[in-house]
Amino acid sequence: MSISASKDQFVWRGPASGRTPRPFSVKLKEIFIPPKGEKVLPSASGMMLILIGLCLGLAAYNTENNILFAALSLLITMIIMSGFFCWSNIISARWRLETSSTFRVGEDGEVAVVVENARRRFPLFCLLFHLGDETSHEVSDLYLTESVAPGESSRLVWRYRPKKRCVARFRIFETTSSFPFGFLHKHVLGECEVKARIWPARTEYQRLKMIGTGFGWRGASTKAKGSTGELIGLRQYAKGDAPRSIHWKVSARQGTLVVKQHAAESQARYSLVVNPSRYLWPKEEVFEKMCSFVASLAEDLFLAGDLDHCRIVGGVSIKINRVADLSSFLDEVSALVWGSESSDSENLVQSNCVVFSPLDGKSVGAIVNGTTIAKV
Amino acid sequence: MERRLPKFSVNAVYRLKWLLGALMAFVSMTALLNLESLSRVPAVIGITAIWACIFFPKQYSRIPPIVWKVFAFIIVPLVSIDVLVGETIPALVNLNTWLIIYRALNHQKRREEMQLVLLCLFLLVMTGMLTASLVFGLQLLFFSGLAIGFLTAGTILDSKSGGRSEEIDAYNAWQKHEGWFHLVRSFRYRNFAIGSAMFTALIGIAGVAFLFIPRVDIQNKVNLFNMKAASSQTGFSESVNLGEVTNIKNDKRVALRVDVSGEQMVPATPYWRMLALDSYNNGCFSISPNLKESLNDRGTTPYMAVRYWSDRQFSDMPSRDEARDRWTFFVEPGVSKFLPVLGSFKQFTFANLNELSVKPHLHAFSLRETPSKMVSYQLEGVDFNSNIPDVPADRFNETRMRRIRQTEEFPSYSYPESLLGLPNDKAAKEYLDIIVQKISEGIPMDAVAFVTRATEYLSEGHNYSMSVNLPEASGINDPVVRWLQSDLDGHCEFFASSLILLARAAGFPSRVVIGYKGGAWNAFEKYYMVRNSDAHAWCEVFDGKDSWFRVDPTPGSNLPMATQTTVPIEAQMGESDTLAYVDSLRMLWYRRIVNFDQQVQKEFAILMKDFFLAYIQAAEDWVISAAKEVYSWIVAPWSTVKFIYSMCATVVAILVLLFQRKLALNYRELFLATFRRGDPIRRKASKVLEKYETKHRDLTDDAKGKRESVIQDLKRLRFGRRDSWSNPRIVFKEARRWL
Repeated sequence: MSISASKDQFVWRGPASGRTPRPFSVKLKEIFIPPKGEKVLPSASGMMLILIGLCLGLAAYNTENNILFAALSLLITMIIMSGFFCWSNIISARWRLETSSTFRVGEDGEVAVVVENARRRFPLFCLLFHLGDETSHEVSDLYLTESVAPGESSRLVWRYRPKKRCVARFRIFETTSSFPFGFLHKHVLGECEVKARIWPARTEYQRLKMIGTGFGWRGASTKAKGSTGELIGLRQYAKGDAPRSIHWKVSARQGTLVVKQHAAESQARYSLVVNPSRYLWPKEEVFEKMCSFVASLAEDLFLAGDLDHCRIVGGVSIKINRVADLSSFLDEVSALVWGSESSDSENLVQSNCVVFSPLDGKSVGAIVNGTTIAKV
Repeated sequence: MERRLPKFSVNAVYRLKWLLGALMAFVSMTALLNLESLSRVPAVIGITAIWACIFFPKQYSRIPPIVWKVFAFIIVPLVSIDVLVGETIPALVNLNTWLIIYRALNHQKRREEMQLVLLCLFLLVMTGMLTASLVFGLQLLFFSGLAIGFLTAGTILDSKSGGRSEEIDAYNAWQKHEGWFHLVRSFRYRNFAIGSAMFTALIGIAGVAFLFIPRVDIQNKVNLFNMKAASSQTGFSESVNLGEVTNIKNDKRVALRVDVSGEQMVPATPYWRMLALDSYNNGCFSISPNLKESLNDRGTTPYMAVRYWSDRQFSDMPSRDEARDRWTFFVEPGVSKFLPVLGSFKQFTFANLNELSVKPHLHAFSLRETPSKMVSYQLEGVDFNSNIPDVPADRFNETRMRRIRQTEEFPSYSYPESLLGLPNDKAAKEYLDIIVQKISEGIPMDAVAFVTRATEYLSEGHNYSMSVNLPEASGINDPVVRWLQSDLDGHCEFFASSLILLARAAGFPSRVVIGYKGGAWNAFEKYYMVRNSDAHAWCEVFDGKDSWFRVDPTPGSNLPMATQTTVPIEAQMGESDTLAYVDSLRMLWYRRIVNFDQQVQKEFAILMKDFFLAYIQAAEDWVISAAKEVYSWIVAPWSTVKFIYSMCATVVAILVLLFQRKLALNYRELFLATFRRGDPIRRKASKVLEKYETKHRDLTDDAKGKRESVIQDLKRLRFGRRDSWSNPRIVFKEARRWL
């Protein structure tokens, strides 16, 4: 009856997630002795129906009127069917949780439940997934808005905009089936859990002084990614290129977008060193500001090709060559704990090493060789 | 592979659900056509309205919500008319029909869907019970199919709309309607198959459930309805041993409340008579077996009791004789199955006469069992005379003896011989004879004279005491005679028993009576509170003619030396402490809630009807006179002053109208503003914003922009300075439109 999941590469959860289909007798037994975490609860209308059934039953027994007994049997059947169908609806469902590769504070990310109907004949109806982020305690209800045909799946998406830098734990707390009448709800534990790192938000910072010819510290920066370095050639525009890198004159001449290609900086590559010690960051909000600043600066330096190493005091130094290296550094930043002490006694002040320090109790400065080059 | 199948849209499911609900209402209303005795007008109106809306759904969607609100208000007078002029069932059926019409055409929320289903089911069941026809079966079948479709569509709609089915814009949903045929055509065979399977399963399981629901007579099988609400408070039964009544006196709880209507005379010391016992055996008084047996058959119904008491009535409704005094008794649960009465009466009113058993020979009234809930009844025309009319024993025996002779012989002390029964102990009898001789001094005397002297004799030798330690038996076994022999003090039962034995030894039939004596007057609610501590035993002696007179030999009572004294009800000095106040609340509950019966309800309805009719009449008179005055003012010759006056009045009226249109608050909010703190505009803005928070709608970009602007304006009204406010009236108007 159920599709075998043996060839699946995904980790499914739910009643039909087993590698081999359970015998019908086991399923039948589970109606009366439900597995741990599963329960059938009446909804408000179900409670009302049960109450009216009791009243009708009392009237039927008092009057011994068969019309009332007929109505009573109808109500009882409604409740029985509601329980049976909501159980049989969910029994062949399985689901998994998917999330965006990266989450960033203040930007939309996707948390999706992929639900599959493991039946061969009947569609899957009306499921409700109650999921959320356990770290930030944000929850959402996802409804299966369309029925799922046998053997097919549906993707339910929760657009999630994180508010805080952290390591989020997304979890399906519970799945509920209320089909067909909604008198009884079958609740099943969601079981799925996915961890995701929420990177700090991009922040605007002020560049204070130009160093060398690399990154080009000229006045205030913007959130838009910039480019720098010596012009070595031109190429066709590709998706993701900064608008400022477009060579408008050549583009106008050729009738297609052409961007400037810059040489990588060779003389001024920087290393970012982040010290999360509490003595340095007495206030948490300043610490969070620093994390956002670090992430933004790291990205900008990487795009400019000026980022050499990144390191969190107490951790390993990450050589930044590819986007994945930067991502792993940002992952570490997302997991930074305010006030974590380290026993790292290494001299932080090295040549072209960017360190971060609070300036006036509120703002954060990026310091290179004793000079504040940027602040936020 | 991930693929979404083309399905019904949210609006299509909404329309489908509505159609199923309307058809369900239609089926239930067709059941009304089976009833010939009821007015078919509501059913015809309902069916017409439903089909009109099915055929013209777009026009239906344009009906403004105010129409439904008005309709909901109209239902009340429509049903009130039915209640006032008709009977209960037609009123109930009509109420149900109007509600179905209202709900079938106007349901959006899940609970409203549920209401519709239950209203339809209720109407079907009610008509089914009245007709019990085969058509009912068919209608129930159709209803079941439509109900499962309706409920399933509701669940699917809720899921499809992401839990926001209540926020679906009905107007938009209907504007996209392309006809029912188009909707039905987009059904897939799989939907039909699932629906049919569910319907078949429903009918099958319902049929099995109907067949196998155990039909038991719960009154016999389940003890639920026979359970006692409280433990029995007293021991008043058909057999009372010496000391049992005195034991009851230890209980201070209220056993009986008696409400006295009108301003009248009441006995200074009332005797609440419950039961008379004729048979005596070794200190135990009881009802003789043959009398007990005869009292348990059908000859003791209130209807048969009229044969013995032609001047009395038993009814379930109070009489219309307003001149009569009325004594309403409220007996607490578990007291006794015997109902206390004060004396002779004209009418006994009790709601369930089938439960009442009358014992004319003992002048006792009982229920089948000791009640587990409060029992109330009313006596009218109560006579406080201490005499109880006799029901001649021979008349009773004539009917009874024929049957009993064939089966068994009477025991030695059967009724009425039991009324003269003495202890079997020969020595005791001899002693009683000696005492009787001593009292009567050999002079023949009537019953009154004898018991008067006997009472004096007892009072001389014994005082009252609650505890008695009888001496060891020596020669005489009978405890009463032993007490009589001694000079011990005793309680009421010893005095009463002794007097009865003496009277019987002197040849006067007598019996012991148990009940309550006295009682406290509750000054708060003006009624008697009779406690178990007022339990008492006394005697009744036959006067040799046609009645039994009361004798209370217990020291402190003057009967039968003095006649029953009465006092005006307003002269009663009673209890007015906290306990009495708490007890008065209970009385209030009994009077106003528990005793609120159909008669009282009818009287109340008539009162309300008269009240409203009087007001309507007064209003009508006022309108007519005012109209006449205006008319005469208009047709009278016009002067310059009159013209200027009328013009000014018109201008003022127009200004008031314009002013009212400029107001941001409606009349209700203006009125309530005087009772509330804070600025009413800010309050309203806060309320509207709060309402917005709980409501989310899918809107176009343009609408979203408008909405944001309205929210900003509302926030300014709520939090901003007054000089930053936009015109509140326009802001609220825009809010109504866009939020």
